[in-house]
Amino acid sequence: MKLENTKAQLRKGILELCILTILEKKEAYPSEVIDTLKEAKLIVVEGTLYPLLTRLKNGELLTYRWEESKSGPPRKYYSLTKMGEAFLEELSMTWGELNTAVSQITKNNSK
Amino acid sequence: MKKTLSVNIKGLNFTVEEDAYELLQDYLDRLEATLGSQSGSKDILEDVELRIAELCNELLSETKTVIETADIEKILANLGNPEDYVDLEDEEESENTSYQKGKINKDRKLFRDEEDGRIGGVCSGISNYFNIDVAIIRIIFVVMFFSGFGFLLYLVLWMVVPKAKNSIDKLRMKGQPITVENVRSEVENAAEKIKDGSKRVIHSLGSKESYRRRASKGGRILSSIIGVILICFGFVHLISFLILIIGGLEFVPVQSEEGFLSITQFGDLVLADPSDIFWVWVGGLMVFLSVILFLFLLGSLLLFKIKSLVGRFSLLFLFIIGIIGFGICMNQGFRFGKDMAINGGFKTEIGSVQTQELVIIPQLETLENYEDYEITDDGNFGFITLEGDQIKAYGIEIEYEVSSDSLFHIRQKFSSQGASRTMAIDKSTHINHGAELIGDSLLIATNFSYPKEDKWRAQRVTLIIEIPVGGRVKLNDQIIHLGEEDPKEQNDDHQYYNEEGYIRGNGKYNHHSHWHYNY
Repeated sequence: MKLENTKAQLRKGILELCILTILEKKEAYPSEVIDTLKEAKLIVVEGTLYPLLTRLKNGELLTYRWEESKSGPPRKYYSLTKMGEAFLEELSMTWGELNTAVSQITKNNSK
Repeated sequence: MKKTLSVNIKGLNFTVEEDAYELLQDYLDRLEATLGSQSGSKDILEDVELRIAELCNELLSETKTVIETADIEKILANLGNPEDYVDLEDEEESENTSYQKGKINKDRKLFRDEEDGRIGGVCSGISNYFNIDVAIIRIIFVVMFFSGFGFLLYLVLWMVVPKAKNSIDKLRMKGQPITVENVRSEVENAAEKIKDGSKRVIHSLGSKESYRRRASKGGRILSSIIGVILICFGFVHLISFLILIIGGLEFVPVQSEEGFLSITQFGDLVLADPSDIFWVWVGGLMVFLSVILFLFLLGSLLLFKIKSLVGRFSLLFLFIIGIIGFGICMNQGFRFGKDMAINGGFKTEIGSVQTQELVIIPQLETLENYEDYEITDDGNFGFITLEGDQIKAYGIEIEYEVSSDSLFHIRQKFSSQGASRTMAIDKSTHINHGAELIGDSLLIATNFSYPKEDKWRAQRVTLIIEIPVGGRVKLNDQIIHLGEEDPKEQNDDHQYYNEEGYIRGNGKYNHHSHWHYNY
C-alpha cells in the first residue's frame, strides 16, 4: 500500500471535477486552467493537467477551438460539451454527497 | 559567451541558448518516449509545446531577448517530470484508444499557401507540407506540365486542397523540416535510444512501442522520399504507357507504305491469330496498369504515412493482377516460341553451267525507284517491309559447296520456322525469290517476299552454289575461291568447314569462311 498512489487517486477524481467546473463558467485555455488550479494548490506540476484535458476531450466531455493570440502562440480554448455538462452535474452531486459523508465521519471520529 | 540557436516553437521564433535548447529537446524526447502508447500523446505534446512557447514568450521583453538555460530549467520544473504525465486511468482505457489515435493524429494537413503562391499556391503548399524548397516542387510541376499531366494534376489539387486561411492553418501546414540537421539529430537520437533504451523499455509503461516509433522517425523521412520517388516512377510509367497505347507511336522499325509500324500493327505481323493479339493486349494492360497503380498507391501510402489494411490488400491485389498479366504475356511468348520452334524448308534447282567463273549480279529491284538518290544505308535498316499483303525481307544467304562434277550447280533453299515441320515447310513454299541463270551470270534479287498471313517466322532464302575444282565466283568485283579445305568436310574436332556469304538488301556482299560445330 503506497501513500503516493492513494493520494494521487484521491486528487485525480477531484481534479477532473475542478477542471470541468472551471470550464463550465467560461471557456479557457490550458494556461488559465493551470493558474486557477495552482492558486488553489491542487496541482504542483503542470504536467498532470495535460493528460487529463486530453482524456476528457477524447471522452467527448470537452471540446476546443483554436484562437489566435496577439502576443503569443495560438491558443486552444476548451469548453464543456453537452455530455460534459451532464457529467459535471452528476459529479457535483456525488461530490456533495461524499463531502457530507466525509465531514460527518471525520466529525464523529474527532468527538 | 554562449552560442545561441534560433528555435521555432509552435510558430513562434525564439533565440535560445544552445544548452537550453538541448535541455528542452531532451525533455520533449523523454516526454514522447514516456507517453508512448498513451492515448492522445500527440495532443499532450502539442499542448506542452504551446505552453512552453507561451511561457517563453512571457519571459521576453525589450531588455531580455534570449531564452537562457535557467529559464528553461524553471519552466521544466514547473511542468514536472515526464512520469507525472502518465494518466492513471490510461491502463483501463488502453483497449479503446487505438481508434481514437487514428482520429486525432492528423495534425499536419495539406493546405494551399496563396500568399506565397504564383498561381493557386499548390506548389507552395506542398513545399510547406514536406518542407522542401518550393523551387524544386515548381520545377517538378513544370516538367510535368510538358507531359500534359501536370496541368491536370495542378487543377485537381487547386480544387481539392483547401486554402490556408489563418495562422492556425499555416501552423498546421508546416511540418517537421527535412534538413540535414534534423536527419542527423534523428539518427543520433535513435542511436542513443539503442544504448540506454533497454532500461527505459522495461521501466516505463508501453515505451517499447514508443522507442520503436522514435527510432523509426528518421526512417519515416526516408520513406517519404521513397514515396515521392515511387510516385515519380508511376508517372513515368503512366506517360510511356499512354504514348504506347493511345499515342499509337509508330516506332517499330518495320517499314510499310505508311512508314513505321505501331506496336499493334507489329503484333499483327508476328502473332499467329487475332485471339493472340487480344490476349497480349489483356496481359499487357494488366501488367502495365497494375504496375502503375501499385507505384502510385505504395508511393502515397509511404508519403502520407497511411497505414491502412485496405491499402495493403490493394497492393497485394495489384501484385496478383500484375503476376496474372505477366503470366498471360508469358503464355503468348511461349505460343510464339512454339511457332518458331521447328525449322523446315525445301530446295529447288535453278540450273547448272560449265564455266571458269560464275558471275553473281545482285538485283536491287526495290531500290530502282530511288535511282535519283544515293543509297547510303547498308540495307539492313528495317529488317522487313510491308507491301500490301506481302512481307518483303532483305538479304540472301549463300553457301558454297564442292561440285561433284565439272559444273556449277545452283540451288535455292527456302526455309521458315513453324510449330511443326509440315507448317514450316508449308510457309517456306510461299516464299518468292527471283534468281535466274543467264549464261554464266546469276541474277539474284536481294530481297524476297511471302504472304502477310504467314506472319514473320524467320523466313530465309539461301543460294547453294556448288563450285567445280578450279572454278571461282565473282561477286561485286570480289573473287571467291574455295580454299584448301573442302566445305562440309569434318575435321578431327568434329567441326565442319563452311564457305558462305550474305548479300545485303543494298547488294553489298560479305564473305566468311570458318570452322564450326554443326549442331
